[in-house]
Amino acid sequence: MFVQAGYQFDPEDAFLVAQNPVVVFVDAAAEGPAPFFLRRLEPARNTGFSTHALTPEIVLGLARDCFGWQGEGWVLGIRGCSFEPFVERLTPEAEAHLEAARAFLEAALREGVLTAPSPLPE
Amino acid sequence: MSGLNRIVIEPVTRVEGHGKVTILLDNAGRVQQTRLHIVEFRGFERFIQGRPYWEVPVLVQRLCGICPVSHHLAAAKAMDKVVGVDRLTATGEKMRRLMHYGQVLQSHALHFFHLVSPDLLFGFDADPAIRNVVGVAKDPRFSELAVHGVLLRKYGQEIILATAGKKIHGTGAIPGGINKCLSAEDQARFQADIDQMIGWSVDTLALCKQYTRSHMDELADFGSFPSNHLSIVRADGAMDLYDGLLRAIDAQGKVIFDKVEPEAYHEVIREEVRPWSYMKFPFIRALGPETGWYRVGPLARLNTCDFIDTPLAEAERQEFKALAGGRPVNVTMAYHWARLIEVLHCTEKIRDLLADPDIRGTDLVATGSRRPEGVGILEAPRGTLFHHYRVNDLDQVEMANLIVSTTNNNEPMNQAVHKVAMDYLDGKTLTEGVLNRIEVAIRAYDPCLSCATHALGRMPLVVERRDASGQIVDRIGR
Repeated sequence: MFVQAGYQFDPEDAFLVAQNPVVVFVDAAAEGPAPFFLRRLEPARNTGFSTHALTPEIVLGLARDCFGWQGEGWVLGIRGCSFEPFVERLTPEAEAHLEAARAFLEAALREGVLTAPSPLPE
Repeated sequence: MSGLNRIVIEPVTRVEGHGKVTILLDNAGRVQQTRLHIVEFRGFERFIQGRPYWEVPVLVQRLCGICPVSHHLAAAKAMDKVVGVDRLTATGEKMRRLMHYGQVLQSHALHFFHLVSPDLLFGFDADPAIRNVVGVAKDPRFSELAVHGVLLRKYGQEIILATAGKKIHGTGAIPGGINKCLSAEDQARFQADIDQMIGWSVDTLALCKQYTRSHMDELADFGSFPSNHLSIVRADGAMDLYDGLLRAIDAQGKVIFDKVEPEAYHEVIREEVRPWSYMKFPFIRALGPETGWYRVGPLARLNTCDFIDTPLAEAERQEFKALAGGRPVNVTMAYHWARLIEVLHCTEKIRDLLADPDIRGTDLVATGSRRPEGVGILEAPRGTLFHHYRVNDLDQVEMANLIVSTTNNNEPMNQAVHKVAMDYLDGKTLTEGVLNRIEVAIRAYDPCLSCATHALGRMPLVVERRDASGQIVDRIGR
């Protein structure tokens, strides 16, 4: 397993994606169910209006079309609670969401099966 | 504005950041006015006031996720002066140069392969659904080109990681020097791949040259106009992307000023504010705002320098300059050709630096006596970048002035938009192809519109033409 943290998506991330059969994009989510959600991603057929705006789907699309990648892409969205610009700490609720998502992902990767939990944990 | 129709293109696509074009037409469909608006507010000059000077090279680069290295290095160069250092150690200068050439390489590669190549390979009128980098990658004729683009960009980014500590928003340059040398492992792996990068640069340049020559009938006049050109050049007249003295020439190649020290930039450059844009309009002081505007970036650099100090790029420069009989090239679409000559130059420079023992040296930082002020100028991928700071006795920044590369090209981009609108839209039907031509003219400059605020999501492009009463007359969407 390989973990990379980045500021934003870049086109060359497609090369990294192409080295891995399963790719999970993990980020805080401003919307969506709590404590987290897992969603399958499909490679994009198009691009955004700027390279400032690459989505995970675009990165997967580049990996498929440039490097022949045929793997699975997922997004794990961890529901945030407060996005105040001058507060760096997580809220207790967000900490709990993060922990739930971490435990879920760890178990799923250990078992080698990534599927969206159903029903979503509350 | 009664009796006029307004066309708005927002956002301008396949540029870095968020811009908007408005075109006013009269009721006969004749172009009355065009404007490229920069709708983002930067404000970094104000944000950093009161911060200690040593934080600035790390802080100020946060204004962008595409060209942070250029701001990191320009700020570090200014702070070198503030700490009294006029000459870095050999390792300090060469590590910074390696970082800078990696930055220019990755930025130019990203622009050409991902933003521009779809226009050139599929044509300005091609279906927008395929006229993008994914379309390039999926087309068997061009898929190898797309792979080379990704890997050239990746190589440049890896150079940045190795020299700055991070691919985006690194910390390698510090006032007076650098905080590490290149590791032996990094040196070896970069050397293993550099000949491949040079080869791909040559191939891509050949493709761009072939395209430009075979389409010269259309491209020669496309968004083109005579202009002044400005850049820094080395004291002996060589192209130098990292350090040098200011030189400006006119459209015929006559020198307007030369060998101007960075500290004297304000004696030769002024900035004009216009109420409809957050981006200022710089001009050459001696000529005034009407005729003193100038172009920067790859085209300007190829025009202002006397030679390039790497052999492959110098041969290409001579071929490029022959386009205009040795005089300045004023063809806007020649920016792409010039940009790819710089890619080749950067790969040659990286090869030379990797073979230089100083890149592994341990003397990293020079020292001097504190000064109250510093100016740092370099050639960022998009053009000349000015950073100017004053620092008080408490080591706090009191004043900052940044003239970023794209700001220098503000008036030329507006001129290009107007030229294309007059040539393709004036009195004619509004089509997607016409709108893309306006964007193509802007893309030639590779503007970076100081954006990191639209990092997620896709913004739809919808263009509406309304009559004077506000009714939609025409609508095109992507």
